[in-house]
Amino acid sequence: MNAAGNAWEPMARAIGSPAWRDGGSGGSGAASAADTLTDHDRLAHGGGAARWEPLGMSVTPALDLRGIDKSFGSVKVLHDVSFSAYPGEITALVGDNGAGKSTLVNCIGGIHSFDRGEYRFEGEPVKVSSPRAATRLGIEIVHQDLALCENLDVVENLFLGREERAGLTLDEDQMEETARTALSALAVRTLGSVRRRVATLSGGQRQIVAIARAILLDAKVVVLDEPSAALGIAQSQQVLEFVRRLADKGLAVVLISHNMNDVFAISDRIAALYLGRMVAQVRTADVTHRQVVELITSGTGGELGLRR
Amino acid sequence: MSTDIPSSKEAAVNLADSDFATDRREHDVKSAALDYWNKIKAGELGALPAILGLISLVILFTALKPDTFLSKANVANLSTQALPITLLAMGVVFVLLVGEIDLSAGVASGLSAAVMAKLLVDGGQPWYVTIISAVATGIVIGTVIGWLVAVLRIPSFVVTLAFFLGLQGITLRLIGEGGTVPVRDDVIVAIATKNMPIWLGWTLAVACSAGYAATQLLRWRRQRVRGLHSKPVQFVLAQSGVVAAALLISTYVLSQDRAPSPLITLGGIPWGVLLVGVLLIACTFVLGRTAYGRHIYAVGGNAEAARRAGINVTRIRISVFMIGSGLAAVSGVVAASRLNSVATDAGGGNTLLYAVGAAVIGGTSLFGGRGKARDAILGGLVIAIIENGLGLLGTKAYLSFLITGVVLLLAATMDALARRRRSSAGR
Amino acid sequence: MMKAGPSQEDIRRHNLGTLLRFVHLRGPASRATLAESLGLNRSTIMALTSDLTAAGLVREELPRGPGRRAGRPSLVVRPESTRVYVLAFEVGVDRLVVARVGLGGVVLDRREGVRARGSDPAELLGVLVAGARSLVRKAERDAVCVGAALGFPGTVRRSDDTIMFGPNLDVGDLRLGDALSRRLGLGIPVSVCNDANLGALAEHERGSGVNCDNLIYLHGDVGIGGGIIAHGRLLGGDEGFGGEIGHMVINPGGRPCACGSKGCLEAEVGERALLHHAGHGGTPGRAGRDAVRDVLASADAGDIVAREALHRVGTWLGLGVANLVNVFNPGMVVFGGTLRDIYLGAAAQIRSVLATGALAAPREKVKLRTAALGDDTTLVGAAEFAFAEVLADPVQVLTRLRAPEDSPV
Repeated sequence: MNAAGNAWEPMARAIGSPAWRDGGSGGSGAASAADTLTDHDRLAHGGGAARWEPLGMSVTPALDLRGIDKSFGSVKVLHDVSFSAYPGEITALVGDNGAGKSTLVNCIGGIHSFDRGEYRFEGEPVKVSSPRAATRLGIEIVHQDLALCENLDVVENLFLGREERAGLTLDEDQMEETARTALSALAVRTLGSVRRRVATLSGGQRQIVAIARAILLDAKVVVLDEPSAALGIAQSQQVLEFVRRLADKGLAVVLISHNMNDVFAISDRIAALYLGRMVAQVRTADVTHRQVVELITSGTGGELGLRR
Repeated sequence: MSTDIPSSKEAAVNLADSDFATDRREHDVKSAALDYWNKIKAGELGALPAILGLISLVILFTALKPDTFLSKANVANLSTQALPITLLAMGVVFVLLVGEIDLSAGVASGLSAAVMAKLLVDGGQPWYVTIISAVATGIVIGTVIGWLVAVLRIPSFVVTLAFFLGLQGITLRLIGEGGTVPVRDDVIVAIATKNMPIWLGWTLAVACSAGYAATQLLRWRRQRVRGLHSKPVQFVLAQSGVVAAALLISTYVLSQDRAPSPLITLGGIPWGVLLVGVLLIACTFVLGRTAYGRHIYAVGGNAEAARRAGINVTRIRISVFMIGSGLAAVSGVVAASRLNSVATDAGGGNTLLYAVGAAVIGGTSLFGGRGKARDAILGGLVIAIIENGLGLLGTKAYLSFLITGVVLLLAATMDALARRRRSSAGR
Repeated sequence: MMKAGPSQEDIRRHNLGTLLRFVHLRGPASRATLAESLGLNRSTIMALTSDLTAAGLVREELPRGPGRRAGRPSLVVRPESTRVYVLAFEVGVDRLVVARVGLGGVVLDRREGVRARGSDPAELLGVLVAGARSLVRKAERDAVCVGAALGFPGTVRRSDDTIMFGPNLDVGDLRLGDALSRRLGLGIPVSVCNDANLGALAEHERGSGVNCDNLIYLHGDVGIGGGIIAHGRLLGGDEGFGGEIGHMVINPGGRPCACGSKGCLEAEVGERALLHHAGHGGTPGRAGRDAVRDVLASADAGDIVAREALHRVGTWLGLGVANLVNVFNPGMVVFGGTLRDIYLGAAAQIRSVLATGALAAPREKVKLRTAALGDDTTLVGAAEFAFAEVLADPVQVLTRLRAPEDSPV
């Protein structure tokens, strides 16, 4: 069995090659893609559709998209894309402009629907038809424009739209306490005071508040769109370390970034999109900078990526 | 010496700034004062300009008109003069908070008053029905404006400018060209012209002072016990002291006998002041302590962020126009009570500009998201003092307009500059 | 002396230490949590806490805030942070720090000073003593100092705390600890340790590596220091000189190192190498963290010289880490000091070299992290080291230190 044999190879290998995709439904193509990711997962065929049975220590991906196709009218944007994010890990999503990163993220967040494919959350097939549905599951997206109210303080922003109430009034004390606990649990040492207005915070601090807001209430997956773009060195370091801590606390983090240093510094896996196809999803420990750059620019890198 | 260790505080203070775990939750006087100073430097002026303006205006007019400006009668007159402006401004604050403007608030107050007067005179309705109808008229106007602004997304200044003209037409049609409708109902007239008994005034003043101090102190204690961010107790006490002093001194002045003739006695706090006080407390509560109030600030600060946070922005926008016009109606009633009549030009002219000016002078931002209900009181007093003082000085009308215009422009400039400071303070 | 088994007294001492250590490292905990986490029954916990309370090491109070409203709340055991403290000294090449650290790891107060490079080491002692005295003066009246430790960027012999070699801080054979202890006159010895070893300890107990028992800490200052934690313990070697990763030769015949060798990790990755490659070498006044940050900022802005410099340094660092990964199979490698900046700025190169240079099996699971304690790794490590004695035998140590006074309040 071609795909299963591949699964036991020590290094993650090329995925989504035409030979596999032609072999069956989108589902099986996606399955073979994920196959190379979890070393201990085994592919089991049942009734034509691929099913996964985790073995031993393996972890169920928090987020698992398989065989996603997406077109806008006649424009095909995503083709048979499979993507997983694991709890406790940072999965970097890389790709050139127009490779389909935003579309994929919007599909994850329920902003776009997709034409074909399967969306699994913590192993269960789900339907995410709106941003609200995504939030209900515990999937949060932090967009580049941070959506904070500068005239409100940190606590007020963290709880905006979901304020704790005590009868008619706001329970400010409870909110402040919760915010403080949550931020110290994430070892955020750099905000000064949780009662500072967001307007007085630096770009990096705002980014941290925006992310903290997203994950405050039981998020399981958080997608960060270029969190350290447009920040100075010190601030982007601060944000990167914060993101790393989020994952170390058990969250599944998806990081979109153009900065290869950032990607290599904190990610555990790298997923490369090239012209709407997922050309590789590999462990960061197994690849080199050059390979990833090649995957982004030409869809192949070393023995990874599309087969020509 | 090539090595030295800074003797004391500096290093410790830096640590507190950098380390969230040792975040200064309890401030001492020094650190709180420093914080306040930093806030001012960063453009968060709060009520400071209004208070400074108030003090300097009082000093100025006292110097220019020593015998009349601070006379008991004039002070009482000043307090009723400020009533309609203050109420109108309070409504304007809500609209400004979401970053919109209501240019029709003045004429809405005029129309509401006209509705009340007509119902009193022609309809023979009791006072409470007429007042409810007036407020209902305001709320209906606000709903329509709000709907046009929030749902159709027509810029609010265009919508309310149209209403500014249109509502004047309706008032004119209602009252008739050049006419006035007299308001003689005892209860309504009493609002601005009758005073409460002196004992009641004192009771309320003492109760309010004590209540304010108690809530502040209780909150401070609760925050300390739970280890939350709190002001130093000295600040809390000083704040309560200032509020109590302001309340008690004005009660004292207004309780003096200010009758021009020794045969009668005339003293006490006008009932209208109580109305403003109650509304001030209510608005402060709504804006500061409820989720609805928080959402108003959020919409004014960043409507997109508010929308993404699940706040119904449209509903918030409509509701602030309803509140704005509703309070305008109350202001119209009080104005009618003060003048004993409603004229066709009620709420026209510079009424609206006075109200917007009052809100902005008080510290409410024209750009949305910043402001408090108390801004209307402070700014309203400033405007009323200017109007009153210039009147005492016998200033010509053109100069009056010029001066008020300049003051409004000054306040708006300060607002804009402070905003620039704020946006450059971060990052 | 032979013993059949631990005596009752030994068990009690051990339990006291374990409980104190728990609240010291994990923070305040309820009796219920303690019972569960330590595997002791509630009455034992109660006896232990009352002993510790009597010694003035912990106090028990009702939990703050509302928490669970229903049911009887379990008392929370808190370390007496302000009343039991240690003195932690950090001697860096560029800075001196003295801190008063309370039980539970709270930095209560600190004095920090800039130290010009090449200043007289004799002055060092005076400044440290002055800083420590001012900290002790500020302490609460009934507070007791239970230990002191100093982190030093050099090799230190464990048996007598003698600094054998400080290549970037010219001190030579020095017994700083004894001298400091004498001058302070607090009746406590001052231990001296290698700074990066302390950093490893700190990151293991309070930083990135809390749940990782096999970690390697790499500390960048002027030189490169290292600390290896194996099975939860610091690997010191025969005399305590172990862990000098900075002097691992990775480029035979490479740049000369202060230690006399050529091509050490320190010589190829240290601050001097980076600044030299970046062409900042000759700029006076800019050294240390700021200079490294300058290079990173230039690289970020697209400066090709700075990028090239980071690339070269990253290559050598990656090679060094690859060797460490192959030899020690650590669960985590933590980068601290200026290496934290260099790691984040050159991660792509470092990991690329690691991916090609290390064996697949140990490489797969190794986590690369930056120091969670930021610039205070050495200081926190020194504090932890200083607490070691009181945590080993809490009541005994306290009784001895409080001996001149009456019983604690």
